[in-house]
Amino acid sequence: MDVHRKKETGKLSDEFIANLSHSLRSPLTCIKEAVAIVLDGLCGPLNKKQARMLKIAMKQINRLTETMENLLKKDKIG
Amino acid sequence: MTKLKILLIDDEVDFVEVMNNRINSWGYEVISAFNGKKGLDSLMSQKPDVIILDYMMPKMDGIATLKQIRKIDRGIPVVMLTAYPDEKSLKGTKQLGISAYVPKVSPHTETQNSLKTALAMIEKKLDKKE
Repeated sequence: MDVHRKKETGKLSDEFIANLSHSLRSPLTCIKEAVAIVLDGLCGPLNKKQARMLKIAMKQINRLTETMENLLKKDKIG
Repeated sequence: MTKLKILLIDDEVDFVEVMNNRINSWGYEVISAFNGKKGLDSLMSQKPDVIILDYMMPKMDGIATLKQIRKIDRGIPVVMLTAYPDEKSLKGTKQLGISAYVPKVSPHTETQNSLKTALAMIEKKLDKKE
């Protein structure tokens, strides 16, 4: 592959990753904030069970975020 | 003390609603606009104290919107929400007078914490001016 084509491919790949990253991160941020708002009681008081379920949801959102970040980081390095 | 009026300009409707709730809980008044043009209209009609502006928006992005904002109001504090708060993506924004950059989708820094800090700092500065 000549240098010009290599550069072009690299640029397309960067753009793809940037778009993918934005498409994945944006909804996750929104979900996380929405859950946090309910957990913080801004939408009214929660009973114990509701709070417990939302805490589980938050834990899994964080887990998903971390997995996604690791994947994106790996791709950047590779 | 009067409530600080904040104009939030972002094309993501759900994100705006969520952040509206959060910012309201800090005691600020929030006005929303879902694109740059509507943001400019709100700037002129509602006279906000601070603007929170999304960097990545279709048609008129954050930088294009900010350039227009500066033609209307040179001094209003602007907080830029950006997915990528790095030098490369923020090239050429220094002269536009951005008060703070807040990572919109950073996994490590909570968006709300950074935003709260930025708004508190701006509020302090505005208080001193009065």
